[in-house]
Amino acid sequence: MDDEVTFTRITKLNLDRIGDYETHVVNDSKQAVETAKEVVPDIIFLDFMMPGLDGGDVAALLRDDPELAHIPVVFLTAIVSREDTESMGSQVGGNLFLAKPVKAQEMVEVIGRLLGTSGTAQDAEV
Amino acid sequence: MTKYHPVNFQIFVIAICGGLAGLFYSSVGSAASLDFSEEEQQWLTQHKMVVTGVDSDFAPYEWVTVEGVHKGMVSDYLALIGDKTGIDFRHYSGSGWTDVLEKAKAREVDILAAAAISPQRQESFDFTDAYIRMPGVIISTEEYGSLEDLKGKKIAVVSNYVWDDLLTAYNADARVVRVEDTFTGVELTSLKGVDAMLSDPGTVSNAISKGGFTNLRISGYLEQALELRFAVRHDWPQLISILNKAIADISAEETEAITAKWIRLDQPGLWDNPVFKYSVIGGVLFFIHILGGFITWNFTLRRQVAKRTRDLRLAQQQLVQAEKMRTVGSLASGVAHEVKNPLAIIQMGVDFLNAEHDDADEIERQVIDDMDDAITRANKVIMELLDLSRDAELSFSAADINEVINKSLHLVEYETRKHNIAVSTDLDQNIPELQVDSAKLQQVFINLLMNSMQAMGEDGAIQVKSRLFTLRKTRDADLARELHLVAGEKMVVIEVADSGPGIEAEQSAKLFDPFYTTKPVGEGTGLGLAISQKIIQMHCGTIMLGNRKEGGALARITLPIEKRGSCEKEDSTRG
Repeated sequence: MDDEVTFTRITKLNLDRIGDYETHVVNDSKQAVETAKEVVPDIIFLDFMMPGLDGGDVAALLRDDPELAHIPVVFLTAIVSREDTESMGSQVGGNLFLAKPVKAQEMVEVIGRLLGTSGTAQDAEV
Repeated sequence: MTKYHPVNFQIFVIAICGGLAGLFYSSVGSAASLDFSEEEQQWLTQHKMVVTGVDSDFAPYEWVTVEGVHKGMVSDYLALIGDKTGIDFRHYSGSGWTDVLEKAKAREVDILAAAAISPQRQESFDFTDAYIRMPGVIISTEEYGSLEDLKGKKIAVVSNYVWDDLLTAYNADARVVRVEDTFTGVELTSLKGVDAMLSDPGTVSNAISKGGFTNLRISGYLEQALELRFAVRHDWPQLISILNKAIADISAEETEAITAKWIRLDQPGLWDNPVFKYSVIGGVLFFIHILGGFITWNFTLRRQVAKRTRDLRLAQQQLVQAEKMRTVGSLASGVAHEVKNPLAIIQMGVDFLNAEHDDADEIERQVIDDMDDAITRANKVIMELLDLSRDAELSFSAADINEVINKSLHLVEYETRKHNIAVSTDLDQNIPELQVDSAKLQQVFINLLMNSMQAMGEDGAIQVKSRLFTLRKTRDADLARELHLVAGEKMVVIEVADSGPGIEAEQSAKLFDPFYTTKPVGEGTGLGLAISQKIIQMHCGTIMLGNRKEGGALARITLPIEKRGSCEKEDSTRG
């Protein structure tokens, strides 16, 4: 989920084609939890900086929801540098960080690493 | 080139006036006033030349210079009368006034130019009317206005002068001190050996200015005057009448002009007064002494001021740099988000196109790769900006600085080989372990090495040196202050020298400015040195760039052996 409509649209194209995933897009952070409940994705990519509820707020809401708490969340951020994401072990509050601009291939790799699969049809929410 | 000069102009005007006056008088004089009788005219025709006895030492009335020139008031009057009568006065001064008198009595000398009348002289000469009349003056350090005031006082006069006679006749109460000449009398009066002196303004002012007696003044004038006349041999009565006619023809203006020319009644120059002179010399010496003190003091002060100015300038530069950093920092974090998001979109787009066009031809693949590179480059700028802006805490740990250097060299080995650059090291093995952020220092070293390589292009040499250095008391005082160290403390100096073109003077001031780069577009963000500087400063060290004497650039980093908890510099820039 990301408030940048263009970004989510092209990312979805990439994930759908390269990774062969089923991707759901949310552009309004207030609808994130609702959509997550509907879809129950295998992994959630969450933009960190958004107006209104930010990525951190959404992650907290997801964690508080017993149905969704198990879903791994990967933050996409325009602030943290690649070097930082690596040195931090990319784990902040149990969540993984990816620095924008992120390559489609990186996202696919992260999905593969977290879900233990690659290339197979999975649900992802962007 | 002629230049208008007011003084010359003045002289010119006077000359014209003088010339006109001369014309006026000569025409008026000979035609109207000087109505010579036939007898007189005949005498003048027969006596073109008159031998004139003059006193060689009677200044300012008359005297003869060493060159034999007759000067003074009398000389001017002779010239004037010569013009009026046509007589050629030939002056004779002999060996002195006595000689002149004797020659006059023997009629080898025809007339005496300036003589006071006396019964004794009247035996040998006839006298004309007086043409010089000088009022008698009282010279004193006190306020004696008239002879009345001098009753019972000691009064100096030159013996046998007219004043001697006058005083004897007039004031029997006065105690007369007869002196040889005017100068002696003036001196005596100045030293208060006598209460006053009687003289004429001419000789007395001459004596006063010659002796520099500043305490003397003309305190009063006498009714009696010094009168100078021509003394003419008895057998030339025609000349008496001729001269009297000429004297009568002398205008008041002419008399005034001659008097003003030769007699100055103003105070003599202060410098002529010995008391004043030695006071001034003493004063000057004292002043020089004080001045010397001042100069020494001034020199010390100036040195201190220069030092402070240097310190201030350094502090100011650091503040400016810090301010630039802050600006860049706040800009960077704001811009990063706004730029990175569109970059993320482009990246996704490129990735998509790349995946979509498995069958892309070489040109299409190249375009996609170029776009991918451009994204990486743009992102790198933002990354470095963020690096620069963040007050990231460094993670300090004990490290061998030589090892950090070697690791950095290893990381650029591919580049150095590729561009045929010879790398040599001269590392001091005595350097103890330092508390540093190895990763950050490595970033600095790599940045410096890459800069050197890019400056040299193909072929060249890089030398990396490390040294343990003990700060000396005076020679390294500035460096010590900059490092917040004191003399005797140790530090590490690391130098990266290259054989490239060096740094141009105009570049050196901006090298550490964010975004300042001399590299071609796309090859440098202009942030490398700014970041390096920040990292070194966070280690409480210094970094400078300069040129080597033998050519090429030199980067020198200094790091203190014992890192302070927080560097003062950082604190001050934040305060």
